[in-house]
Parts: sequence; C-alpha cells; structure tokens
Amino acid sequence: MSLYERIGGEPAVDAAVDIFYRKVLADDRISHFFDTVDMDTQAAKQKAFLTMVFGGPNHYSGKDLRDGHKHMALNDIHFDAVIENLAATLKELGVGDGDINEIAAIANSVKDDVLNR
Amino acid sequence: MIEIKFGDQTVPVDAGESVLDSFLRNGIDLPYGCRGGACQSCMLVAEEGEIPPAAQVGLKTTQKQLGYFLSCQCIPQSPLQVRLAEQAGQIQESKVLERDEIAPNILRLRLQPVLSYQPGQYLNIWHQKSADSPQFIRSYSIASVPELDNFIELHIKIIEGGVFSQWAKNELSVGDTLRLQGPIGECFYVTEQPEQPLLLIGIGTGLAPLFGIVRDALQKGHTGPVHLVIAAREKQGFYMQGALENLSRDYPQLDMTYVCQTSNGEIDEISSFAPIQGDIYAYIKTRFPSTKGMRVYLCGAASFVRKMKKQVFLSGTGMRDIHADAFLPCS
Repeated sequence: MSLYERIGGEPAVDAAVDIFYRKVLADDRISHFFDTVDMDTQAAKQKAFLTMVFGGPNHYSGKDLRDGHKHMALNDIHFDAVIENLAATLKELGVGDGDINEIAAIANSVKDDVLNR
Repeated sequence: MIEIKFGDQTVPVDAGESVLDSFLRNGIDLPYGCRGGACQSCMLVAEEGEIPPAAQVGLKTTQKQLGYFLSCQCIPQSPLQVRLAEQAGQIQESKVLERDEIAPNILRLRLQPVLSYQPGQYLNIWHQKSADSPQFIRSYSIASVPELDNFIELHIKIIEGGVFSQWAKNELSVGDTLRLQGPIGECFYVTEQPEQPLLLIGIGTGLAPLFGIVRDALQKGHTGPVHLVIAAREKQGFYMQGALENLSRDYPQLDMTYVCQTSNGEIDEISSFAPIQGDIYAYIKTRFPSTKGMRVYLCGAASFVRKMKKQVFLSGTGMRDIHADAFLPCS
C-alpha cells in the first residue's frame, strides 16, 4: 500500500487542508504571506501541496515551485515553519511517526526549489 | 467514441481520455493548472449528460448541484454538452412588476420571474440607456424565493454616479423591460444536514441574498438554529425590519441581530431588534467564539467578505462550509 493510500487518500487530504491552513494563518512567522491571497484559491493550492507530500497524484514540478515562490524572499525560518505546521497537522490527524517522517522527507526534498537556491 | 458538445463545436474524446486532454488536442484553449483535480482551474459546467463522480471530487455541494466538474478528471462514459464555468447563459427580457424606494438609498425591484434560480444567486442586468449609448452590465443578488414569491426581487443600492442605480431611480418605471442574464453564483442553501446551525452575516444590501437564503432554508424545513446578523454603517442603513420581524415571529429558531457600526467600538446589546452599537468583527468574535460545525453565509462588500471569511475559518468553520457572495464595487 502506498503512503497516500495508507494516509487515507483524497478524503484525508481534505481533512488535512483545513487544519493545516488554519495553523499556517495563525503562525506569525508566515501568516503575512497569506494576507492578500484569495482563500479558496489558496486552499486549493494547499490541497495540491498536501497531495504531493502525501505521495499522491500530482503535477508539481521544480520549475513551478521556483516560479511560484520567487517573489517572496523566503528563508529557512519560513520553510521550517511550514514543515512544523505540517507535522503538527499530521499528529492531530493521528498519523504515525514513521509516516510523518516519510512525509517530512518528501517536503524537504523540494526545499531548494521553494527557496530558489 | 464519445462526443462532447461545446458551443457550436463537437469534440471527439478517445477512450480513456479526459475532457481537458481532448479539448487541448483539438485546439480548444481551456485554462488548466495541476491536471490532478486539485487546482480546479479547468472547471466546466455540464448542461446535459452524466458527469462521472470522479470529476466532482472536492467540489462544494452547491457546485455539484449546478453541474460543475473538473475537465481534467472527467473521462466521460456518455455524450456531454458543456460550457465554460463563468458563462452565465442567455439574456432574457423581464418586465418590472413593482418598484419601491424601501429605504433612503435602496430601491426594491420586483421583476417577472423569467428564469429559474436558487435564492442567494445573482443575475446580471444588461443596461443600455438608449440604442446608441454604451452597454453596462451590473450584478444584483436575488432576495426572493421561487416557491414563495411570484416575482424576482432585487435590492438596488442607489449610488452617487451609479450608472444603473441612478437610471433605475430616476427613469425606470413599472412595466418597463430589463434584460437579465443568469443566474450565477454558488452562495445558496442546500438541503443537507438540516440540523446544522447556520450563521448568516451581511452588510448593507448583503441582506438581499441573505433574506432569500434564510427564507429558503426555513421553508425547506431547516431544523437547526439560524443566526442572522445584519450590519450597517449607520442606523439609516437598515431596511425591511418589518418583514424580518414577521419572519422571526413565524420561525422561533431564527435569531436576528442588527449591528450598527458607528464610531465607538463598544458592544451594547439592548434587545434583538434594536441595533447593537459596535464593530461587526468584534461582535461576531464575542458572540460566537467558536464557529466549528456551523455553516456560514457571508454577503456584502468584498472587503468585508474577505476579512470575515478568514475570521470564521480561524474560529473553526470548515472551508467548505463557508459560502460567500462578495459585492464588487462599480459605479
């Protein structure tokens, strides 16, 4: 069974989006990046992101990630904040530590693209 | 091979191919993003035919009801007739049945019900002063309920310099014809979880769609509590108190509050029908510290909808339980 199936597939992603997005908006380190974005559009993007890190079907490419984050002047603090919120979301949903580590590793694999390094 | 009708074009779809892929292959330029059913930018509407369930995964119930689907996830099993998601349909002529200035700056129009709609959706009025003047399109939300009213009701806010509202105020008479297009929008009541508490918050003529949605929910047998909160900048901005008072007398589950956003930020609750003085955001925060499990409807100025949407999301409402009709400014 794949990681994505183990987590619970699309319904699990749906459940995770609200929790994750709420944590991100409440996190002073990164919340200001979301002040001017449309919430529905952003929720759809978060869903695509979570699908990707859960190992589900996605079409994320390194180039998209670079282009999408280029203007934001992001650094390690911002990236780590997202990873922390992601891990806390998964814990809240009862995902096991092994799977959380696997997911964090997938997220970390795109770090250089997101930070445009 | 299955064929998809799109305007006057017929597009052949290969076995196992998605609608999006077949359109792109045949040179029809559709917007798209992730191709994975997540970003929803390739959304289309099916006017006829059966939508495979996989093509509606992740959409709001209201969108599903209206036939919206994601073209990248749609591998059709039978012919479909589709259109772009933002096209609003044919223009229809409708006569003005009644016009009343129900408040200092609000004109209520009642029109022939020439189209079917859900209360809370909006329609476009195509307005041209005379044959050689430019054409303007203005959107108004629908306050009536088809099962209860034999007219379409709109609340027109009279704006200084407003292209349509000034004309409607000064020149439009009963018996005149308006050109309508629609309905559009996903902010309406759906009959699911009738016990779920509803929280409806509106500013100014945001009351129009909410008046439709509330009456629709009640006449469809919603059993949960219904909290309607109406805000206005000043006391003169409230209207239709009589109709609302009657409604809450008929339905004890309806709880009505007026919030008057005048200068001081204090919250001073007098009674449910005298306006509370204060800031709408602070009032909602104090009155509903947790909105978890509630279905929320937000109608009014775009800035208000945006801010309140974030607030109720952070206080616990799920993204899919937030329905909004944001009024965009235009003169």
